[in-house]
Amino acid sequence: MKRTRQSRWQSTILIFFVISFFVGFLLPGQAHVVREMKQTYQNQDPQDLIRVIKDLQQHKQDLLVEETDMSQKVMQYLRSSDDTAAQVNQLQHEATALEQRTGAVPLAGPGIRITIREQSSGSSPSILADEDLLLLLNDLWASGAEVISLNGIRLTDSSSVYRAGLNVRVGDKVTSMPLVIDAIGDTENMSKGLQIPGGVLDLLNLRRIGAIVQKVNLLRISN
Amino acid sequence: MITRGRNGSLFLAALFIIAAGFGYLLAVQFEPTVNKAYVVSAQNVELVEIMKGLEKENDSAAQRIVDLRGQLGELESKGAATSDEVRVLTQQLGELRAKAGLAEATGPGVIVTLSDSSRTPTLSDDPNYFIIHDGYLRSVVNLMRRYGATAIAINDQRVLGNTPIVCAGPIILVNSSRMSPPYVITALGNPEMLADSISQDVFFRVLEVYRDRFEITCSLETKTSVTVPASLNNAVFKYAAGAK
Repeated sequence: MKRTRQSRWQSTILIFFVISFFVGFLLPGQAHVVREMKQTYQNQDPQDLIRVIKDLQQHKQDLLVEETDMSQKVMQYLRSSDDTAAQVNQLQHEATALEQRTGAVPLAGPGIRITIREQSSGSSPSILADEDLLLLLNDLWASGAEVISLNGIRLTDSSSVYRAGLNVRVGDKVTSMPLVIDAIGDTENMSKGLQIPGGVLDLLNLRRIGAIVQKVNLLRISN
Repeated sequence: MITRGRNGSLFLAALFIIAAGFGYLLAVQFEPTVNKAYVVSAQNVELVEIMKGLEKENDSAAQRIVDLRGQLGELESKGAATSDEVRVLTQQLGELRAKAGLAEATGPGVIVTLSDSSRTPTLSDDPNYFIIHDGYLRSVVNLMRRYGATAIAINDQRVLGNTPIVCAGPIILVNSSRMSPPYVITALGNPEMLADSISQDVFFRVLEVYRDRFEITCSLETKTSVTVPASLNNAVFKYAAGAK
Protein backbone atom coordinates (compact mmCIF):
# COMPACT_ATOMS: atom_id res chain seq x y z
CA MET A 1 0.00 0.00 0.00
CA LYS A 2 2.75 2.29 1.10
CA ARG A 3 4.81 1.29 -1.93
CA THR A 4 1.85 1.94 -4.27
CA ARG A 5 1.37 5.43 -2.82
CA GLN A 6 5.06 6.12 -3.11
CA SER A 7 4.99 4.94 -6.70
CA ARG A 8 1.98 7.17 -7.47
CA TRP A 9 3.74 10.05 -5.80
CA GLN A 10 6.85 9.48 -7.89
CA SER A 11 4.70 9.28 -11.04
CA THR A 12 3.09 12.61 -10.15
CA ILE A 13 6.48 14.22 -9.66
CA LEU A 14 7.68 12.69 -12.92
CA ILE A 15 4.65 14.03 -14.81
CA PHE A 16 5.17 17.43 -13.23
CA PHE A 17 8.81 17.31 -14.29
CA VAL A 18 7.89 16.35 -17.85
CA ILE A 19 5.28 19.14 -18.08
CA SER A 20 7.70 21.73 -16.71
CA PHE A 21 10.41 20.55 -19.05
CA PHE A 22 8.03 20.68 -22.01
CA VAL A 23 6.85 24.20 -21.17
CA GLY A 24 10.42 25.34 -20.58
CA PHE A 25 11.35 23.81 -23.92
CA LEU A 26 8.50 25.53 -25.75
CA LEU A 27 9.01 29.04 -24.43
CA PRO A 28 12.39 29.84 -26.05
CA GLY A 29 11.16 28.23 -29.27
CA GLN A 30 8.14 30.49 -29.19
CA ALA A 31 10.34 33.53 -28.52
CA HIS A 32 12.51 32.52 -31.48
CA VAL A 33 9.48 32.23 -33.75
CA VAL A 34 8.26 35.67 -32.65
CA ARG A 35 11.70 37.15 -33.32
CA GLU A 36 11.90 35.53 -36.77
CA MET A 37 8.42 36.79 -37.60
CA LYS A 38 9.37 40.32 -36.69
CA GLN A 39 12.28 40.13 -39.11
CA THR A 40 10.05 39.11 -42.01
CA TYR A 41 8.64 41.98 -44.02
CA GLN A 42 5.25 40.25 -44.20
CA ASN A 43 4.99 40.78 -40.47
CA GLN A 44 5.95 44.45 -40.32
CA ASP A 45 3.50 47.07 -39.25
CA PRO A 46 1.46 47.92 -42.40
CA GLN A 47 1.98 51.64 -41.68
CA ASP A 48 5.74 51.13 -42.01
CA LEU A 49 5.32 49.31 -45.30
CA ILE A 50 3.02 52.05 -46.61
CA ARG A 51 5.66 54.63 -45.69
CA VAL A 52 8.33 52.63 -47.57
CA ILE A 53 6.02 52.36 -50.59
CA LYS A 54 5.35 56.12 -50.61
CA ASP A 55 9.08 56.73 -50.41
CA LEU A 56 9.71 54.33 -53.30
CA GLN A 57 6.99 56.00 -55.39
CA GLN A 58 8.60 59.40 -54.84
CA HIS A 59 11.98 57.91 -55.73
CA LYS A 60 10.49 56.43 -58.89
CA GLN A 61 9.32 59.92 -59.91
CA ASP A 62 12.78 61.38 -59.23
CA LEU A 63 14.46 58.64 -61.25
CA LEU A 64 12.00 59.17 -64.10
CA VAL A 65 12.83 62.89 -64.14
CA GLU A 66 16.55 62.14 -64.21
CA GLU A 67 16.16 59.48 -66.92
CA THR A 68 14.09 61.83 -69.10
CA ASP A 69 16.60 64.63 -68.56
CA MET A 70 19.53 62.36 -69.48
CA SER A 71 17.74 61.05 -72.58
CA GLN A 72 17.08 64.62 -73.74
CA LYS A 73 20.72 65.58 -73.18
CA VAL A 74 21.92 62.59 -75.20
CA MET A 75 19.46 63.44 -78.00
CA GLN A 76 20.46 67.11 -78.01
CA TYR A 77 24.13 66.18 -78.10
CA LEU A 78 23.54 63.78 -80.99
CA ARG A 79 21.60 66.47 -82.87
CA SER A 80 24.27 69.10 -82.23
CA SER A 81 27.31 66.95 -82.99
CA ASP A 82 28.41 69.41 -85.71
CA ASP A 83 27.12 72.54 -83.98
CA THR A 84 29.69 73.87 -81.48
CA ALA A 85 27.47 76.77 -80.39
CA ALA A 86 24.63 74.37 -79.51
CA GLN A 87 27.04 72.15 -77.57
CA VAL A 88 28.38 75.13 -75.64
CA ASN A 89 24.83 76.22 -74.85
CA GLN A 90 23.91 72.76 -73.56
CA LEU A 91 27.03 72.48 -71.41
CA GLN A 92 26.53 75.98 -69.94
CA HIS A 93 22.90 75.21 -69.14
CA GLU A 94 23.86 72.10 -67.14
CA ALA A 95 26.74 73.94 -65.45
CA THR A 96 24.32 76.64 -64.23
CA ALA A 97 21.98 74.01 -62.73
CA LEU A 98 24.90 72.29 -61.01
CA GLU A 99 26.25 75.56 -59.61
CA GLN A 100 22.87 76.07 -57.96
CA ARG A 101 22.98 72.61 -56.43
CA THR A 102 26.54 72.85 -55.14
CA GLY A 103 25.98 76.16 -53.39
CA ALA A 104 27.97 78.36 -55.77
CA VAL A 105 25.13 80.83 -56.38
CA PRO A 106 22.52 82.43 -54.10
CA LEU A 107 19.01 80.99 -54.31
CA ALA A 108 15.53 82.23 -53.48
CA GLY A 109 12.12 80.67 -53.18
CA PRO A 110 9.21 79.86 -50.88
CA GLY A 111 9.91 77.94 -47.72
CA ILE A 112 9.73 77.77 -43.97
CA ARG A 113 11.71 79.42 -41.21
CA ILE A 114 12.21 77.61 -37.91
CA THR A 115 13.47 79.58 -34.96
CA ILE A 116 14.93 77.50 -32.16
CA ARG A 117 15.54 78.90 -28.70
CA GLU A 118 17.07 77.09 -25.78
CA GLN A 119 16.03 77.85 -22.21
CA SER A 120 19.22 78.92 -20.56
CA SER A 121 17.55 80.12 -17.36
CA GLY A 122 16.38 77.96 -14.48
CA SER A 123 17.99 75.15 -12.58
CA SER A 124 18.01 72.73 -15.53
CA PRO A 125 18.69 74.56 -18.79
CA SER A 126 17.48 72.88 -22.01
CA ILE A 127 20.21 72.40 -24.57
CA LEU A 128 19.75 71.45 -28.21
CA ALA A 129 21.83 68.28 -28.80
CA ASP A 130 23.66 67.35 -32.00
CA GLU A 131 21.22 64.48 -32.55
CA ASP A 132 18.20 66.84 -32.27
CA LEU A 133 19.64 69.14 -34.87
CA LEU A 134 20.57 66.28 -37.22
CA LEU A 135 17.07 64.83 -36.86
CA LEU A 136 15.45 68.19 -37.58
CA LEU A 137 17.56 68.73 -40.71
CA ASN A 138 16.96 65.13 -41.80
CA ASP A 139 13.19 65.57 -41.47
CA LEU A 140 13.37 68.76 -43.53
CA TRP A 141 15.28 67.03 -46.34
CA ALA A 142 12.90 64.05 -46.16
CA SER A 143 9.84 66.29 -46.49
CA GLY A 144 10.97 68.25 -49.53
CA ALA A 145 13.59 70.85 -48.59
CA GLU A 146 15.82 71.82 -51.53
CA VAL A 147 18.19 74.24 -49.81
CA ILE A 148 18.78 74.85 -46.10
CA SER A 149 20.71 77.46 -44.17
CA LEU A 150 21.47 77.79 -40.47
CA ASN A 151 21.72 81.41 -39.34
CA GLY A 152 22.45 82.28 -42.96
CA ILE A 153 25.12 79.59 -43.46
CA ARG A 154 24.12 77.36 -46.36
CA LEU A 155 24.45 73.60 -45.93
CA THR A 156 26.41 71.82 -48.65
CA ASP A 157 27.35 68.17 -49.23
CA SER A 158 30.39 68.54 -46.98
CA SER A 159 28.71 70.47 -44.14
CA SER A 160 28.83 68.89 -40.72
CA VAL A 161 26.65 70.34 -37.98
CA TYR A 162 27.44 70.02 -34.29
CA ARG A 163 27.47 71.84 -31.01
CA ALA A 164 30.70 73.44 -29.90
CA GLY A 165 29.99 74.50 -26.34
CA LEU A 166 27.07 76.92 -26.47
CA ASN A 167 27.74 77.64 -30.14
CA VAL A 168 26.82 75.68 -33.25
CA ARG A 169 29.44 74.78 -35.84
CA VAL A 170 28.32 74.51 -39.44
CA GLY A 171 31.28 73.18 -41.41
CA ASP A 172 34.13 75.53 -40.65
CA LYS A 173 31.86 78.39 -39.53
CA VAL A 174 30.64 79.12 -36.02
CA THR A 175 27.26 80.56 -35.13
CA SER A 176 25.31 80.94 -31.93
CA MET A 177 21.81 80.36 -30.56
CA PRO A 178 19.01 81.19 -31.21
CA LEU A 179 19.16 79.23 -34.41
CA VAL A 180 17.20 80.37 -37.44
CA ILE A 181 16.83 77.57 -39.98
CA ASP A 182 15.64 78.61 -43.44
CA ALA A 183 14.51 75.88 -45.81
CA ILE A 184 13.41 76.53 -49.39
CA GLY A 185 11.15 73.84 -50.79
CA ASP A 186 7.69 72.35 -50.56
CA THR A 187 6.30 74.59 -47.81
CA GLU A 188 3.21 72.53 -47.00
CA ASN A 189 5.01 69.22 -46.95
CA MET A 190 7.91 70.50 -44.84
CA SER A 191 5.53 72.08 -42.36
CA LYS A 192 3.49 68.89 -42.07
CA GLY A 193 6.62 66.73 -41.91
CA LEU A 194 7.92 68.58 -38.89
CA GLN A 195 4.63 68.71 -37.04
CA ILE A 196 3.56 65.07 -37.17
CA PRO A 197 2.64 63.82 -33.69
CA GLY A 198 5.70 62.37 -32.01
CA GLY A 199 7.93 64.09 -34.54
CA VAL A 200 10.96 66.25 -34.02
CA LEU A 201 9.05 69.36 -32.86
CA ASP A 202 7.22 67.34 -30.19
CA LEU A 203 10.57 65.99 -29.09
CA LEU A 204 12.01 69.50 -28.79
CA ASN A 205 8.95 70.80 -26.95
CA LEU A 206 9.14 67.95 -24.45
CA ARG A 207 12.67 69.02 -23.71
CA ARG A 208 11.58 72.65 -23.30
CA ILE A 209 13.37 73.80 -26.45
CA GLY A 210 11.23 76.37 -28.22
CA ALA A 211 10.73 75.89 -31.95
CA ILE A 212 8.57 78.28 -33.97
CA VAL A 213 7.72 77.38 -37.57
CA GLN A 214 6.70 80.13 -40.01
CA LYS A 215 5.81 79.86 -43.68
CA VAL A 216 7.64 82.45 -45.76
CA ASN A 217 6.75 83.40 -49.32
CA LEU A 218 10.27 84.28 -50.35
CA LEU A 219 13.41 83.18 -48.58
CA ARG A 220 16.89 84.03 -49.83
CA ILE A 221 19.83 81.76 -49.11
CA SER A 222 23.22 83.05 -50.07
CA ASN A 223 26.13 80.95 -51.32
CA MET B 1 -0.52 9.21 6.79
CA ILE B 2 -2.65 12.23 7.56
CA THR B 3 0.39 14.42 7.09
CA ARG B 4 1.22 12.78 3.76
CA GLY B 5 -2.43 13.09 2.68
CA ARG B 6 -2.58 16.79 3.53
CA ASN B 7 0.81 17.41 1.96
CA GLY B 8 -0.26 15.47 -1.12
CA SER B 9 -3.40 17.58 -1.51
CA LEU B 10 -1.44 20.74 -1.03
CA PHE B 11 1.09 19.57 -3.57
CA LEU B 12 -1.61 18.69 -6.09
CA ALA B 13 -3.27 22.06 -5.54
CA ALA B 14 0.06 23.78 -6.08
CA LEU B 15 0.63 21.65 -9.18
CA PHE B 16 -2.81 22.61 -10.47
CA ILE B 17 -2.14 26.32 -9.90
CA ILE B 18 1.30 26.10 -11.54
CA ALA B 19 -0.04 24.14 -14.51
CA ALA B 20 -2.98 26.52 -14.88
CA GLY B 21 -0.58 29.47 -14.62
CA PHE B 22 1.63 28.01 -17.33
CA GLY B 23 -1.39 27.30 -19.47
CA TYR B 24 -2.62 30.85 -19.03
CA LEU B 25 0.81 32.28 -19.79
CA LEU B 26 1.12 30.16 -22.89
CA ALA B 27 -2.35 31.09 -24.05
CA VAL B 28 -1.62 34.79 -23.50
CA GLN B 29 1.65 34.49 -25.33
CA PHE B 30 0.33 32.51 -28.28
CA GLU B 31 -3.03 34.15 -28.76
CA PRO B 32 -2.06 37.67 -29.86
CA THR B 33 0.95 36.39 -31.77
CA VAL B 34 -0.98 33.81 -33.72
CA ASN B 35 -3.88 36.15 -34.42
CA LYS B 36 -1.56 38.98 -35.43
CA ALA B 37 0.49 36.65 -37.61
CA TYR B 38 -2.57 35.64 -39.62
CA VAL B 39 -4.16 39.08 -39.83
CA VAL B 40 -0.99 41.07 -40.50
CA SER B 41 0.36 38.57 -43.02
CA ALA B 42 -2.84 38.67 -44.99
CA GLN B 43 -2.78 42.48 -44.95
CA ASN B 44 0.88 42.74 -45.77
CA VAL B 45 1.37 40.26 -48.59
CA GLU B 46 0.03 42.74 -51.13
CA LEU B 47 2.03 45.63 -49.67
CA VAL B 48 5.24 43.62 -49.81
CA GLU B 49 4.52 42.68 -53.43
CA ILE B 50 3.97 46.35 -54.32
CA MET B 51 7.17 47.30 -52.49
CA LYS B 52 9.25 44.67 -54.28
CA GLY B 53 7.72 45.62 -57.64
CA LEU B 54 8.63 49.28 -57.11
CA GLU B 55 12.16 48.34 -56.04
CA LYS B 56 12.58 46.31 -59.22
CA GLU B 57 11.32 49.18 -61.38
CA ASN B 58 13.61 51.64 -59.60
CA ASP B 59 16.61 49.35 -60.00
CA SER B 60 15.94 49.13 -63.74
CA ALA B 61 15.54 52.93 -63.99
CA ALA B 62 18.80 53.39 -62.06
CA GLN B 63 20.63 51.11 -64.49
CA ARG B 64 19.19 53.00 -67.49
CA ILE B 65 20.41 56.29 -65.95
CA VAL B 66 23.91 54.85 -65.47
CA ASP B 67 23.91 53.71 -69.13
CA LEU B 68 22.69 57.11 -70.37
CA ARG B 69 25.35 58.90 -68.31
CA GLY B 70 27.99 56.66 -69.89
CA GLN B 71 26.61 57.41 -73.35
CA LEU B 72 26.58 61.17 -72.68
CA GLY B 73 30.13 61.01 -71.32
CA GLU B 74 31.32 59.41 -74.57
CA LEU B 75 29.54 62.04 -76.68
CA GLU B 76 31.03 64.85 -74.59
CA SER B 77 34.52 63.40 -74.96
CA LYS B 78 34.08 63.33 -78.74
CA GLY B 79 32.72 66.90 -78.70
CA ALA B 80 35.64 68.08 -76.56
CA ALA B 81 38.03 67.05 -79.29
CA THR B 82 36.36 69.39 -81.81
CA SER B 83 36.68 72.73 -80.01
CA ASP B 84 38.74 74.27 -77.20
CA GLU B 85 35.69 76.03 -75.78
CA VAL B 86 33.74 72.76 -75.61
CA ARG B 87 36.77 71.01 -74.10
CA VAL B 88 37.14 73.59 -71.30
CA LEU B 89 33.41 73.59 -70.57
CA THR B 90 33.30 69.76 -70.57
CA GLN B 91 36.15 69.70 -68.08
CA GLN B 92 34.42 72.26 -65.83
CA LEU B 93 31.20 70.30 -66.05
CA GLY B 94 33.04 67.11 -65.04
CA GLU B 95 34.38 68.87 -61.95
CA LEU B 96 30.95 70.23 -61.08
CA ARG B 97 29.36 66.79 -61.50
CA ALA B 98 32.00 65.29 -59.21
CA LYS B 99 31.36 68.04 -56.64
CA ALA B 100 27.62 67.41 -56.85
CA GLY B 101 28.18 63.70 -56.21
CA LEU B 102 27.04 62.71 -59.69
CA ALA B 103 30.24 60.80 -60.45
CA GLU B 104 31.71 57.70 -58.85
CA ALA B 105 34.66 58.58 -56.61
CA THR B 106 37.66 56.44 -55.72
CA GLY B 107 40.55 57.12 -53.35
CA PRO B 108 41.95 56.44 -49.90
CA GLY B 109 39.53 56.53 -47.02
CA VAL B 110 37.91 54.71 -44.13
CA ILE B 111 35.12 52.23 -43.61
CA VAL B 112 32.92 52.14 -40.52
CA THR B 113 30.85 49.00 -40.17
CA LEU B 114 27.85 48.83 -37.85
CA SER B 115 25.55 45.90 -37.33
CA ASP B 116 22.87 44.71 -34.93
CA SER B 117 23.89 42.50 -32.06
CA SER B 118 23.94 38.76 -32.66
CA ARG B 119 23.02 38.25 -29.01
CA THR B 120 19.36 37.93 -28.09
CA PRO B 121 18.35 40.45 -25.42
CA THR B 122 17.09 38.89 -22.22
CA LEU B 123 13.92 40.09 -20.51
CA SER B 124 15.93 42.46 -18.33
CA ASP B 125 17.78 44.01 -21.33
CA ASP B 126 16.61 47.06 -23.24
CA PRO B 127 16.47 45.75 -26.85
CA ASN B 128 17.14 49.27 -28.19
CA TYR B 129 20.81 48.83 -27.32
CA PHE B 130 21.04 45.72 -29.50
CA ILE B 131 20.13 47.32 -32.82
CA ILE B 132 21.60 50.00 -35.06
CA HIS B 133 19.27 52.99 -35.33
CA ASP B 134 18.97 55.46 -38.20
CA GLY B 135 20.27 58.14 -35.83
CA TYR B 136 23.56 56.26 -35.47
CA LEU B 137 24.04 56.35 -39.24
CA ARG B 138 23.28 60.09 -39.36
CA SER B 139 25.75 60.75 -36.57
CA VAL B 140 28.53 58.68 -38.17
CA VAL B 141 28.01 60.45 -41.52
CA ASN B 142 28.12 63.80 -39.70
CA LEU B 143 31.36 62.77 -37.97
CA MET B 144 32.92 61.79 -41.29
CA ARG B 145 32.03 65.18 -42.79
CA ARG B 146 33.34 66.93 -39.68
CA TYR B 147 36.72 65.26 -40.01
CA GLY B 148 37.16 65.92 -43.71
CA ALA B 149 35.39 63.22 -45.74
CA THR B 150 34.92 64.30 -49.34
CA ALA B 151 32.44 61.61 -50.41
CA ILE B 152 30.32 59.19 -48.37
CA ALA B 153 28.22 56.12 -49.08
CA ILE B 154 26.14 53.76 -46.96
CA ASN B 155 26.18 50.25 -48.43
CA ASP B 156 25.67 50.93 -52.14
CA GLN B 157 24.00 54.34 -51.76
CA ARG B 158 25.78 57.70 -52.11
CA VAL B 159 24.98 60.04 -49.25
CA LEU B 160 24.84 63.72 -50.20
CA GLY B 161 24.12 66.68 -47.94
CA ASN B 162 20.41 66.45 -48.73
CA THR B 163 20.11 62.67 -48.47
CA PRO B 164 17.69 61.79 -45.69
CA ILE B 165 18.39 58.67 -43.65
CA VAL B 166 15.00 57.64 -42.37
CA CYS B 167 13.41 54.70 -40.66
CA ALA B 168 10.01 53.14 -41.13
CA GLY B 169 9.72 50.90 -38.09
CA PRO B 170 12.71 48.59 -38.20
CA ILE B 171 13.50 49.42 -41.86
CA ILE B 172 16.21 52.03 -42.56
CA LEU B 173 15.96 53.81 -45.90
CA VAL B 174 18.74 55.70 -47.67
CA ASN B 175 17.80 57.15 -51.08
CA SER B 176 14.62 55.10 -50.72
CA SER B 177 16.69 51.90 -50.68
CA ARG B 178 16.07 49.47 -47.87
CA MET B 179 19.29 49.01 -45.97
CA SER B 180 20.11 45.72 -44.33
CA PRO B 181 22.78 45.28 -41.69
CA PRO B 182 25.72 45.31 -41.76
CA TYR B 183 25.73 49.04 -42.55
CA VAL B 184 29.01 49.73 -44.31
CA ILE B 185 29.70 53.47 -44.24
CA THR B 186 32.48 54.38 -46.63
CA ALA B 187 34.20 57.76 -46.65
CA LEU B 188 36.86 59.17 -48.95
CA GLY B 189 39.48 61.34 -47.31
CA ASN B 190 42.75 61.22 -45.41
CA PRO B 191 42.52 57.74 -43.82
CA GLU B 192 44.75 58.40 -40.80
CA MET B 193 43.17 61.73 -39.97
CA LEU B 194 39.64 60.38 -40.37
CA ALA B 195 40.36 57.22 -38.35
CA ASP B 196 42.13 59.06 -35.53
CA SER B 197 39.48 61.75 -35.21
CA ILE B 198 36.48 59.43 -35.51
CA SER B 199 37.86 56.90 -33.02
CA GLN B 200 38.44 59.65 -30.46
CA ASP B 201 35.01 61.21 -30.82
CA VAL B 202 32.62 60.72 -27.91
CA PHE B 203 29.84 59.37 -30.11
CA PHE B 204 32.05 56.67 -31.60
CA ARG B 205 33.31 55.75 -28.14
CA VAL B 206 29.73 55.29 -26.99
CA LEU B 207 29.19 52.90 -29.91
CA GLU B 208 32.29 51.00 -28.82
CA VAL B 209 30.84 50.69 -25.32
CA TYR B 210 27.65 49.25 -26.85
CA ARG B 211 29.84 46.87 -28.86
CA ASP B 212 31.59 45.62 -25.72
CA ARG B 213 28.44 45.42 -23.63
CA PHE B 214 25.68 44.46 -26.07
CA GLU B 215 27.77 42.86 -28.84
CA ILE B 216 26.74 45.13 -31.70
CA THR B 217 29.29 45.34 -34.50
CA CYS B 218 31.24 48.60 -34.59
CA SER B 219 34.53 48.68 -36.48
CA LEU B 220 36.68 51.30 -38.15
CA GLU B 221 39.27 50.47 -40.82
CA THR B 222 41.60 52.59 -42.92
CA LYS B 223 41.81 51.72 -46.61
CA THR B 224 44.24 52.70 -49.33
CA SER B 225 41.40 52.66 -51.85
CA VAL B 226 37.64 52.82 -51.49
CA THR B 227 34.95 53.58 -54.05
CA VAL B 228 31.67 55.38 -53.49
CA PRO B 229 29.00 55.22 -56.20
CA ALA B 230 27.54 58.20 -58.03
CA SER B 231 24.27 59.66 -56.80
CA LEU B 232 21.29 59.11 -59.07
CA ASN B 233 19.41 62.00 -57.54
CA ASN B 234 19.85 64.98 -59.81
CA ALA B 235 16.34 66.40 -59.80
CA VAL B 236 16.21 70.03 -60.84
CA PHE B 237 15.03 72.37 -58.08
CA LYS B 238 11.29 73.01 -58.28
CA TYR B 239 11.10 75.78 -55.69
CA ALA B 240 14.58 77.32 -55.44
CA ALA B 241 15.71 79.58 -58.25
CA GLY B 242 18.79 81.72 -58.79
CA ALA B 243 18.59 84.94 -56.76
CA LYS B 244 20.08 88.26 -57.73
